[in-house]
Amino acid sequence: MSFKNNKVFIISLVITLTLVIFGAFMPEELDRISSLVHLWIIENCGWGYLLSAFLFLIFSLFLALGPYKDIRLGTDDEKPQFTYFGWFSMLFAAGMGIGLIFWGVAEPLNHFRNPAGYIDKSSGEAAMFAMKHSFFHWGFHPWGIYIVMSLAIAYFSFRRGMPPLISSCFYPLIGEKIYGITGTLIDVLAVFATVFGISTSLGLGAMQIHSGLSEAFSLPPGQMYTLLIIGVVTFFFILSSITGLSKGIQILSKTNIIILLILIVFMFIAGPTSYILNTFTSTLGNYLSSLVSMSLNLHPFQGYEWTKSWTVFYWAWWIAWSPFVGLFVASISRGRKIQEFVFGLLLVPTLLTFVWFSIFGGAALHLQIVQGVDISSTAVSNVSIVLFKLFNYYPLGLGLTIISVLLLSVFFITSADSATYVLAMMTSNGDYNPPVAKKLTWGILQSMVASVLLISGGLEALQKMSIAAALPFALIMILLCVSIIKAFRYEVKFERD
Amino acid sequence: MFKKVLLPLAGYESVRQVKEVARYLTFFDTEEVVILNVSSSLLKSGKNTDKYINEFAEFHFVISQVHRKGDESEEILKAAKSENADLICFPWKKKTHLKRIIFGSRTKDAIRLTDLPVFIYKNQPFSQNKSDRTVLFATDFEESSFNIISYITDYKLKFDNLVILNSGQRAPDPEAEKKRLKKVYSGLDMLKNKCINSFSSVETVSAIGNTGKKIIKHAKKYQADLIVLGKNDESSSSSKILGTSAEAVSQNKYCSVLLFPPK
Repeated sequence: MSFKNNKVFIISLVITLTLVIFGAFMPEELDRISSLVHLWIIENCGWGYLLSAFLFLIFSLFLALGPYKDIRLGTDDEKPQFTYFGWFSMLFAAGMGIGLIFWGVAEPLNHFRNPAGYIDKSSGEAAMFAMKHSFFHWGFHPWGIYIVMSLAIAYFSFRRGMPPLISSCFYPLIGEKIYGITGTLIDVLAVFATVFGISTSLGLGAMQIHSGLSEAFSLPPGQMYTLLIIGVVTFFFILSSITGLSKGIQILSKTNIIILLILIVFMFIAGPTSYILNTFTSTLGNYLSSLVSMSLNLHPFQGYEWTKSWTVFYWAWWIAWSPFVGLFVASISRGRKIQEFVFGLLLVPTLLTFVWFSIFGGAALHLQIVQGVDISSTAVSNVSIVLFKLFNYYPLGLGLTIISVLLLSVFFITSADSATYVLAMMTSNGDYNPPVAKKLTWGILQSMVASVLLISGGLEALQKMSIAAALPFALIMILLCVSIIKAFRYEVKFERD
Repeated sequence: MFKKVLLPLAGYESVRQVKEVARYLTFFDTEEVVILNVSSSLLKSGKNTDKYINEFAEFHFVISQVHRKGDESEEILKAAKSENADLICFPWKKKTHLKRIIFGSRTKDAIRLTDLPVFIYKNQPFSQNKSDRTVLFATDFEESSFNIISYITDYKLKFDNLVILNSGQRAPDPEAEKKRLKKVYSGLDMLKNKCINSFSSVETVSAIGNTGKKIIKHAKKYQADLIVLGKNDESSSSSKILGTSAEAVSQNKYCSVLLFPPK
């Protein structure tokens, strides 16, 4: 294994292992350092995150409606590799996956109980605020961020024949330097953000599966079971990853979407249907009408703390998550035109997310406000368990819990599977068929990171480190927009007949 | 080449500067110079103009004077039209960015609005005795480039060295970049072959990046006496906001600039 051909792999591996060892043996120290960095970033760069996320959304719309909308992410006569159903399923699984199940009930209830300072707690206004901001945090903006990253990678790799690496997207700006230190730095940063992002998600996901199993089968608490869950799921996602992208992830994602739709339909029918529909319609209207003001409002005079700990955190998180999702989304979007790609990403997963929040968040708020059951206190004290607490008030509650655990497990597997593939690809100079050894290395390492930090208590510190990595990535993504425009302008001006 | 030249003078130009401009114009085959004064104070400007006229005597131009009142840029363009001028010539005065933003620049306005060639003389003495004169020609290989090269080679504008520069944008990928460079070098070679007999040396340069900045950088590097470039017809939205390369080059303080309209 030569260093020259594996520099990204070796450097990333060394950094990852160093941080894991640091986190395992000195979790307090890691937490102290990451908290300092995290606090500084959230405190001082919030405006930058809000502006850039809004810019990415506007930029995506410009691409979909502007002069470059007909450029194909592939050769001119290429057809899309996946069907719409397969494509949307994988988009959803990779982009939101575990997070949505985790926060679908917990986030609206948290905002309802602890809204921004200018709103009365647990009021009707707080409920609307809660739903609107849940839509906001999981709506167009994350997908705007993903679009910039994935579109750049798809364009430069499928249309321009370059390796599917983030560094490749900078060719119009820095030319041959993408093969030098600058390119390596960008790719190492992408690997770093992906490993720690996915490990954090896996750790949190495993905790929620454990909570679900405890609820359903009275599984006793204890980290042993959480680690066992990580072990079992690791076996499955590595197996899936080795069978290949088009088979493994696609089958799992489609299965998951079907389970998800069944759960949605059941909850919709069994739950307060008209209340959910009212919630959906009103929140959608509220969200759309205040999209711009929400996008650019940090509430500096009142409610700044809330904005920092939720909106800014989310934006940083989506940006940190974007190298992984971007590479994965790019790899499944070959052959689509820019307009179709942007609207596909912007509208379909977002709509499903809105429906999910309306049904689960709406049902939880109905329980809280109309039925007078205090479920929001659970949401604040134990985020991972609140979904299962909600099911206790529904017919077939146990079945719903088991289905949700299954859903979580499959999302866990698809996310980790995609991440394994993406990491192996990124550290193999963009090889579409990365070596199995690298897939195994990253697969095991992700679970190791999640397990070790779960035991040592460094998981939260790791999440903060990922957020810290988002800051340089926000700048990288702004430059990416410039690079995309330069490339498109060149293509339209000099290469079109 | 440029038989009739419109020379707007504001009154602040030094006598020496005007004399250098006049000397330069002899290289353009100029026969007639129309001195234009646009001012709200005709009396003061008129006095200065008389002083300038004496400086033209030794070059045997037919001199006429026009005085106009009103907006400077607008009147320059109107005068150029009514006098049937072949060239508008500006002696350059250094202005800070802030001054340019607040008070505007008549040179920039003229470049933007006129269909005539524009010559901007920088305070850079251009001696007839200088033995190693260099002209930098910036090209985008548009049709007008070939007309401009004819001007440079066929007329009295004699230089010793020619640097032909193309500054473009990098292609989106290495393969396309190879193709682009191949095209650029073949274009540069074609232009070089067209004028190789008119100069002691002809050098070709390909650069990547901001066109205006690259032209100025290479003019400095080659110690050029004159930059010649064509104005692009299709201005992009960014150039509408930030200004065109021609406008940026015209504001450089290192060497004189001769700008040709698109057609």
